[in-house]
Amino acid sequence: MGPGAGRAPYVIVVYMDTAAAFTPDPGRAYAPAPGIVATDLGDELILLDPARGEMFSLNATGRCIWGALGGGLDAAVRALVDAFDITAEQAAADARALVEDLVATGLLVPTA
Amino acid sequence: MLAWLDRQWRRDGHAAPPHAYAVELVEEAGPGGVGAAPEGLGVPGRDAGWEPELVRLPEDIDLTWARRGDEWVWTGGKEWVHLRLSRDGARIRFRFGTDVFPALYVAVSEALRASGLLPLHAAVVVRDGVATALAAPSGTGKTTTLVRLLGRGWSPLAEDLSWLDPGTGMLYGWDRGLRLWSDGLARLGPELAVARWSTDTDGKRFLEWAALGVPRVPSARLARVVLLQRDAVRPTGLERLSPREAVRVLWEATGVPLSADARAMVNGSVTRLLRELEFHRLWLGPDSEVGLPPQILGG
Repeated sequence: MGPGAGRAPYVIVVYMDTAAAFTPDPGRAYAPAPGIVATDLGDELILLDPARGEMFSLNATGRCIWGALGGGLDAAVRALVDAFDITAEQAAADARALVEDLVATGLLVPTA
Repeated sequence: MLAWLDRQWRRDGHAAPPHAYAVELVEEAGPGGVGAAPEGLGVPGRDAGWEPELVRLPEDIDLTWARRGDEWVWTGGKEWVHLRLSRDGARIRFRFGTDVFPALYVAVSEALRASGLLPLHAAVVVRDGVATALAAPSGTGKTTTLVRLLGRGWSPLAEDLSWLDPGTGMLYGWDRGLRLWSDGLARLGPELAVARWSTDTDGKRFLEWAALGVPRVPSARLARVVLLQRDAVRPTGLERLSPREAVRVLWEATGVPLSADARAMVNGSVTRLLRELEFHRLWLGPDSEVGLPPQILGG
């Protein structure tokens, strides 16, 4: 995924490999995994996992997606399209890719 | 027990505003022993709903608690501690034994966190009524740097622990003096090395603030957090921290509370402190072994 006009790709500073593929469900909402603390710096979101003693950083794009995921992937896509100069298709690809990474890293969980 | 409470938690010199959050400490009699926690309290693996949770204290002391919601239980050989947190207060029940003190310390600390106070593990110095916290992993040189700054007109507020009221910005020093291992004494200079140090029960050497000859400031408004970082090549000097680094320093200096409510509260405080405080890194280069440059930290 490369940078698009008006925005940069999200960045996860520490990335953990996933043993199994996870396919985000477009209609499902997501929430921070238990214990994860999110500190908002405005243009960057810091995610703290106290259990592992690790911190992760999401840039403006990732922050936008994270903030909208309570309404599901579709809500994240709409938020990206509204905030950045990208197409809905690119926004959907970005959001899906980030959700996959965040779930695989243990920072995000699908809600019931 | 009263002597421990007095030594660890009574600080008559602090004039903090009254707080509505109540911390109740109740000693209970009855049989002790592993698995003999009082009725209604759980043991992971035996009682449903209780999960183990590891708490690491300074100096690598690990305590395994059982947790269910906003309740935590620790059991030792004969003693146990039960902590229940709510929005209005905390209740700590315990059975006394010689090994109960670390767990009680955790319980009281968590109760204070739940009230909104933040523990700050850092050395703190004060100048012109304003506090600067020196944060760093153990062994970096917090105490050495603090002592060197005392010779530059700074006053001590804390050597390792203070409590921050995020609402007022006031920092309350908790240490009664310097405490360090014997091998750290030589780095403090010849005068302090031969001062009248006592030895605590854990083997650390202790020197009261009064023996330093510099009046200790019991509380002050926190204005700056400085991360100390050693470097084998870079000369000693000060630079600003990025917001991302500042977040890390704050969380590492304050620690992460056990309860979700307290974590959310601390997170809000961290966000506010990021706006209100200055954050710097003080590189301690090879030249720092012989002293700090003039005007470092502005003093």
